[in-house]
Amino acid sequence: MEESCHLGGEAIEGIRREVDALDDLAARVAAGDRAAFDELYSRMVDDVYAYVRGQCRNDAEAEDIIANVFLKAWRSMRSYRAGSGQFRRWLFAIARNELKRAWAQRKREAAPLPEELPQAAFDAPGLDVSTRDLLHRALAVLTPDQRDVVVLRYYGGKSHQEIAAILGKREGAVRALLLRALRTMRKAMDDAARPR
Amino acid sequence: MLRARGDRWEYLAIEAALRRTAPPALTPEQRERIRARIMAQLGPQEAPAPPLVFRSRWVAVPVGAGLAATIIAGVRLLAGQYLGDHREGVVAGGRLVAGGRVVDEVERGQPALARTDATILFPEAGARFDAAAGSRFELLSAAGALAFRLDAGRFSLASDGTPVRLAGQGWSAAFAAGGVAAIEVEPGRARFTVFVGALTVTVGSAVCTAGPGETVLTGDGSCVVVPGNPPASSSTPGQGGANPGQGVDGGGNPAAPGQGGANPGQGANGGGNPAAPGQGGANPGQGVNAGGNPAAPGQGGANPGQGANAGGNPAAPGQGGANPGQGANGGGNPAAPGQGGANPGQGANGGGNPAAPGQGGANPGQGANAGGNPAAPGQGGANPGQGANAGGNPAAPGQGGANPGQGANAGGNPAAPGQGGASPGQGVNAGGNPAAPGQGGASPGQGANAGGNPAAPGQGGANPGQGANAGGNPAAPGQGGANPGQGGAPGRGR
Repeated sequence: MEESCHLGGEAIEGIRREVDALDDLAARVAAGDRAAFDELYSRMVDDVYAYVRGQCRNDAEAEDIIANVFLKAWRSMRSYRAGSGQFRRWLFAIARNELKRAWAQRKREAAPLPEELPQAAFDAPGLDVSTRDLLHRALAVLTPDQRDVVVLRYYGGKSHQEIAAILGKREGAVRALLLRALRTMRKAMDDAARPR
Repeated sequence: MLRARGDRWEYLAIEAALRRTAPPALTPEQRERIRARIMAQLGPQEAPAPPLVFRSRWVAVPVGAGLAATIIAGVRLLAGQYLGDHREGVVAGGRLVAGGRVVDEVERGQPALARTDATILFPEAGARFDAAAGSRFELLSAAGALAFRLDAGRFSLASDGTPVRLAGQGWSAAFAAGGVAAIEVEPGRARFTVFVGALTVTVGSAVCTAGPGETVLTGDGSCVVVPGNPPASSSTPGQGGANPGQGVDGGGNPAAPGQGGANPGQGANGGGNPAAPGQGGANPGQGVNAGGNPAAPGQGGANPGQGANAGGNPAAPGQGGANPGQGANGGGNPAAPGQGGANPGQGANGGGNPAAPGQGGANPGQGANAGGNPAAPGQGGANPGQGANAGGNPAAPGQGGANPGQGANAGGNPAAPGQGGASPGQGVNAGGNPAAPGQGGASPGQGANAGGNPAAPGQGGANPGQGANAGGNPAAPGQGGANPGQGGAPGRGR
């Protein structure tokens, strides 16, 4: 968990190379290069999917959102300031907005579809349905920022530093957000599990 | 810290649960399915959003070689739309280097160099500052009033009400309440050209204040104001042009439209100044010209008869001269029909002074002439009306004779003699319609009326000739009409 504190120079250099590569691709995409966009998709789709899938109801909805995220990125790539090194943050901001839009749309639906947790929740050994349900409810009470951090950390497998880069926050702020999120979740789960 | 134990759920347990409920990774099938879906929907890319949104009023201002010829006179940024966080100058165009790097905002106290022509907007101050490539400056203050130190180069500044202070080597300058100016700064001297507002320049103990159109030069510890022509406002040039053209037309001095304006009667009458036809009357000769002898305006003035010509025979001003009174009157001095009578030839009648047809009759021959049938003056005399007609229908002098009044009308419309009389000036105008050369042609017809055919402006032009006839060359009135129109052009020339 504390791996990000001990990132060596080599790891940091790797992150920088990745950032530069993404910016190069973004610049090419802004020029209308579809091959570059395809490459960008390949590099980013896993992370974005993990982030999105952890916050929506099912695979189909996640795929819809992912498609919208990348289509929006393509359309507005010229608005991205190539060279700023903020491509991940920019793309995740699009994803966050798409999620909000999806949630707003979901609220407007008269008869919401039954929620569907990731299949892993069912397969998780020792995790009964009630626990899964508690976990899900606890996630729902988090603030958007807290939920972003939790999802990126535990569903996306990102380090604190990577989360900080994606969300445009300081690493310390990410740690604080994560701590508050876990506290909130624990309290929510305790309250829900306490016999009335 | 995260390992603190809770009552029932430990953080570790929550973390473990979260990890276990993590969604599965994207499968290759999903990845390809989404990829195909995205690639199939790729459309055109959007243009980047403009960084600034502002309303502006542009004023054409010559700032100097290399610098854009336009600057903003007033800049009003929509508050907070894109610049909510910016308190100072935003580089809206060009490359500006400060502190060794290209910047997109100008900070106080940081010397800046314009790598290219650069534009800096001050949203809060409602001001714009331009620096030509190679110019060096520094923003000293952006609070309350804008203040710059200008080291070298060419600049332009537009402030919409915000005071601006400028400082350079040995001089300072200030717009107390905004303004627009272009500044050139070289070692030891500076030049300020003011377009809007009042700029006060101080060099040592010398103080120079320049207003719109004026230039202040500094050097050797002093300053001097060089007067200039105030820049024409957007509302005046058109008018000027209009009048001048007229004048020009009228008087026919393309090079001196203002003078033309000064002699509206001329142009008016001549080219047809709608605004000053009466003056045209006052200056018959001019009117004559007015009549629009582009080739001989001066002569026209000299030969009121040309007024008749005014009616518009460029080819026969001399004739007009031959019948000056006629032309003049004929040309149509509505104010002096009696003279027309006095000068029946004056065609006045011919030209159509309804008020003095009898006089015309009194001098039929003149009227005839006046009327302008060069080929049948005697008849004219015999048939004053003819003259009138002459004034009018060259083809039907006999009728004119038959209808002397018509002759007057001839001056105008047999059907509307009163009109002819009513608009003798028109006849003059006929000589040219002040309002519209072409109309002049039309009017000429009136004049024509005067001279003749109100119903056929073109003919009127032709008729003007008739009026001219009045003054009398029926054969070339069309030119007259055409010329008046030309009269209008000088305005554009300005």
